[in-house]
Amino acid sequence: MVWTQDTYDELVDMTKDVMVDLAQIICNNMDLGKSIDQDLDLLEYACNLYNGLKYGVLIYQDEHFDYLNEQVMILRTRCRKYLNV
Amino acid sequence: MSTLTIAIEESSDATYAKLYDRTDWDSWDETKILTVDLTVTYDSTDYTLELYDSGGGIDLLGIDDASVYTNLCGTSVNSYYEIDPNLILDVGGDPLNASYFPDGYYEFKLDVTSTMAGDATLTTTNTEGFLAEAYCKSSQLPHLLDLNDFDAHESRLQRALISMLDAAVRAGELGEYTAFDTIVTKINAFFSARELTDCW
Repeated sequence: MVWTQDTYDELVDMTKDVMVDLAQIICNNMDLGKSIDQDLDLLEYACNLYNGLKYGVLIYQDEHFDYLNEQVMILRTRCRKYLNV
Repeated sequence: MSTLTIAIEESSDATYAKLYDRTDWDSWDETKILTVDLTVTYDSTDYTLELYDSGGGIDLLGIDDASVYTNLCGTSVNSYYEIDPNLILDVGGDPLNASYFPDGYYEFKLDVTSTMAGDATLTTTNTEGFLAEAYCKSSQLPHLLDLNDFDAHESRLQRALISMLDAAVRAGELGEYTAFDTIVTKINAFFSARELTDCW
């Protein structure tokens, strides 16, 4: 797709949302004494995606943002499933 | 002119916060700016700073220097004003802090009165999670590496903490106070259990 400032900003906010959701899932699992391994991997992955977005602006390419968007959507779906949203 | 848009960024030592003006002013005309006021809300208290008053001789932003400025903060979108926590005062005249921004959740509201939009007051609010001290503390975490006795569990928890710090900052930016508070509470408990030294 053709990315604009608005759609880019939307994707950045969505990525931030995913990071916050994953961190809260980790807090919750810590409280419950459950493993945080998988969610930590995913949170670190989300942090990498955020950096990819932040610094990707410097080499603005639609394909790059398409790729990041796809990954963020996968994470968001997983978070929503966990949080039952 | 498009919407008044600002960005706030805490310095790594928390001694100031950078205020950027990202507004698309079309054709900048400093003579049409009347007042610029900043309100910072921290821990349920409002702190204010008068940044500019064309009639009152206040010009902390330096925008009267018409020959070079292109927005409220300087010559480019990357120009910024350093907000000093010692200059923003509550109603009693006490500063937010004498030397640094304490870690926490902040709201920054900028009010600009201008004749550009029919004497309208332009207002924008940014929320931020400031965690410079927590980041500083986290730098003390890694233990002396012993390859024969590597504590993978502790290392994993430390990695979790760093990522959660990043997530807390994002929660602040999104204005999600409850999430910010939840994550920071967990981070502080982690620090407390490890007896780290305060950075400032």
